Amino acid sequence: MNLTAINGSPRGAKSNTAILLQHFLAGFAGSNGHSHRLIHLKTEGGADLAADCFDGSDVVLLGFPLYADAMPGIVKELIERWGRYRGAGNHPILIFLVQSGFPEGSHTRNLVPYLEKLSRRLGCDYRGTIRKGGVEGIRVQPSFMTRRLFDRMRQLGAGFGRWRTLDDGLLEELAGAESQNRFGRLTVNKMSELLFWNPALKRNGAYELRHAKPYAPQESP
Amino acid sequence: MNVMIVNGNPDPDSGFDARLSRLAESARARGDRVQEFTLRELSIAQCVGCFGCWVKTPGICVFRDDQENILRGYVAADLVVMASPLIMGFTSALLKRCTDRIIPVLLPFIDTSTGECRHFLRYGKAPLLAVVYAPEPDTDPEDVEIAANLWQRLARNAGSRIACFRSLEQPLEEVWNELDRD
Repeated sequence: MNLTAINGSPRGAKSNTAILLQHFLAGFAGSNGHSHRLIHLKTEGGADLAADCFDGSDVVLLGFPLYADAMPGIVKELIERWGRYRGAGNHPILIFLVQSGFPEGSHTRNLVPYLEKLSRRLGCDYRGTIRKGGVEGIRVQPSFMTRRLFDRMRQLGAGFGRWRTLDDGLLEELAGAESQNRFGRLTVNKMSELLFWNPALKRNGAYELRHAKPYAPQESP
Repeated sequence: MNVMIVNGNPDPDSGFDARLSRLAESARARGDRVQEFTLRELSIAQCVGCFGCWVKTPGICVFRDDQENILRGYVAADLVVMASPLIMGFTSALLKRCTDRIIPVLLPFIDTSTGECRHFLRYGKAPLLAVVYAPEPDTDPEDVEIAANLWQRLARNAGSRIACFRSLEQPLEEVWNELDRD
């Protein structure tokens, strides 16, 4: 089985999406007789490679971060280029990875029917979407915080290599709760402010400007 | 009312622009102030997720391109009409690229008071949103529902809501009737 993974992150090769895909591929590669490649949509030539990737792939895994609550513009461009495959034969199986910074599953949920319908529109067999919230920061988190997530991604990859399906239990575990409890929400809120946003603003000398309104309409005299 | 119309139609020969112009005219005839942007004639870079607009130059994107005028318009608008043909079941990549760059109007800080995470609004308010589309040959009611739900989520996380989700092939009065009922 020949799998093409596409990293649709506008941040390119150094992105949370790429990290998750690499762990999936590591698990997938453990099964015999499989080959795979990873295309970064953002790198030079990546968009053309991804646009043509149905040729010679048994499976295509398209991964992307949530941008303004859906796929990033560059991923939509790719999907539009895939339109030429409509109606042609011999299509790969499609699977997807959608990750978000916000922890609740409610933010990525609406993508699932879209991706399912997209697969049908292209004439591809849809085999599921990996959803994962709370991903912002995995690039910098210590390994004890990410170990479980990365293990699950490798298990999903290994299982897919063996059975050509994404394990429902693992998908459910990764997607997590549709909504956080009050404590969870407050933790995300305060932790990100204290550990991430405020230090970054201060490092950049921008803390005092953090509430700036540069495009506010001018008051008429 | 201040209305901003963002035209995300990539194909100038499709007839979409003409129908959208009639919508703009009908808004002006109602006495609205209308500002129009045709995205395919503008230069708008893809957001690269650098968060510079939150932590380096708050409220201002690292890309100083035509999106600045759209953000100025967005902040001043009472109603923003997002217009695009459906392509592969959703809004055009051209319009998506523009909406990806809306995050400078949000603050990095997270508001959890609504029961789920969303960002606080930098300007304290958000315009009402309307989406007008043109169907593809194979568009069915399921596609419309899927696209509308994706937009509802965007609107909700942007502190707004979709007041109207309409095909431009329907009579324009229906757009205004729906907005007026709102």
